[in-house]
Amino acid sequence: MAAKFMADVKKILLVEDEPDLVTLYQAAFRMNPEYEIKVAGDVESALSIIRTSGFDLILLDIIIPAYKNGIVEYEKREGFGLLEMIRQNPKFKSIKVLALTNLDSLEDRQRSQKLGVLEYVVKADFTPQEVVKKVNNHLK
Amino acid sequence: MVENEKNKNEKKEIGENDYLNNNCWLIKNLKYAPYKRCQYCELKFRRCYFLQYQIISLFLVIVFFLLFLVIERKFSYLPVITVFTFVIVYGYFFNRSTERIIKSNFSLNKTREALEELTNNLEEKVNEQTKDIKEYNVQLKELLEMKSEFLTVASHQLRTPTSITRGYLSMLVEDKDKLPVKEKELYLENAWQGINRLERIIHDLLSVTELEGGKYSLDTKPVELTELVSGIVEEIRPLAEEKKIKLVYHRPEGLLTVIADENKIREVIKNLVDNAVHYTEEGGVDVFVKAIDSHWLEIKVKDTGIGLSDNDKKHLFGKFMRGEGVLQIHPNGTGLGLYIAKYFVELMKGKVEFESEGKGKGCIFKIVLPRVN
Repeated sequence: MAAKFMADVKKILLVEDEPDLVTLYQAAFRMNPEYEIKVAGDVESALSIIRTSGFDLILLDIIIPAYKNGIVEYEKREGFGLLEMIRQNPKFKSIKVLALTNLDSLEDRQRSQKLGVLEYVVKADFTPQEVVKKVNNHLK
Repeated sequence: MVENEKNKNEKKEIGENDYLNNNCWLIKNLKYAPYKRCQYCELKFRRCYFLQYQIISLFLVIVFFLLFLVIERKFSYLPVITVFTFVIVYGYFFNRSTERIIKSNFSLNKTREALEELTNNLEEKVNEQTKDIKEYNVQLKELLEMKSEFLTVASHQLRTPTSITRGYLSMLVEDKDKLPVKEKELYLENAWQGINRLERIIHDLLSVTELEGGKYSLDTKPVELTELVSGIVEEIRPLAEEKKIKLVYHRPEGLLTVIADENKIREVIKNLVDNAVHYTEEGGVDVFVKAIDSHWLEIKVKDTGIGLSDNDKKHLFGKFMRGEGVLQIHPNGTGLGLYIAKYFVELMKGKVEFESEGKGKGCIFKIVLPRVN
């Protein structure tokens, strides 16, 4: 493996709770050595991971669990709440976010746009490799 | 002129006599005629009325008599009697015809009032209907919103296994040279599971739509349960063996029968046993079928698995509701099985019950059904 400068490595955060999809996207990104990918399965772990490390881009699933005080809230679209919290921090106001979800309604697309999402990607429409290509485009 | 203030506020029943009194010749100028009693003469109407005309008649008689006396200067019986009779009789008939007019006026007024009441009633009824229609409209809107939300969630549920299967297959097809063999085998297996999961979701969604739409075509007949459950347990045995957990069927002696659609009841029981095995990592699952009494029987599935948290218990029978953290242990569940089970069992006049001491402490699911002998 050729040595890469730290600056060349792009750090991606994948917020996704479905284990098969985590496996898939990790495998797809692994094929491109310039990406380092970290995974968070719910809102709390995503927040703590963002605080400790910086990321170049976040792939955000909208339907993820949020464990508030150890109790799962069944309010479904927790991803939006997470994004709102992220945007409140001035450090992360301009962090790049792609929505990676299987929801596809007008309200969801509009809400994502309002929260500064760069692209709304429906998982079922794109293969993992295509998603990697999109990330490439946004990080050029 | 005396004004009766009582009548402004009191709403008494209007009687025939009231109208007679209104036309009391002597008190026609009164604005608010009292009811039932002629205020002026304080006598009851008919008498008062009659008396009025009798007084007039008498007055006329006297006048005529005097006139006659003055003009003729002698007292002659016949003309006096004639005139007297004439006046009395005329008065009487005049009274009666006026009474008739008043009576017809009265019935006209009554008709008018009835019509008014009807109109008011009609308005009330129309308002009520409008309120009902508005309520129905609100309900309809709510239902449409629920339907739309259901479709959104359902399509999301369908897309998830689709994206999984598609993802794995695309890696196998496009990047097969980059993958080690073990990984390729894993991906193939996962793609297969993904399709199975998709199929199960479609199946469950159709069940739900059928049940809720009320258009299910059930083939109800007597179904012998002890044998049915035996078959289900044997179907799930390979999975239990793979997970190295026990699966025991405690079969009762004798036969226990219910009236049901065999396919549906089998689906429901299989779902319970399937769940129990999927959510248990060590220990085992026990399945019991037994009669409670001559009217009811019970199918009980007990496991030593991940149990139910308080939050799980609240949402247990909701659509698409999965337990906390189950995706790791049972990624292919649809979240619809218990919803369908409860719906269908309650259709059969039975009950679905559950117990769990908490997360990590296993659970017990029971289906109680009415039996036939």
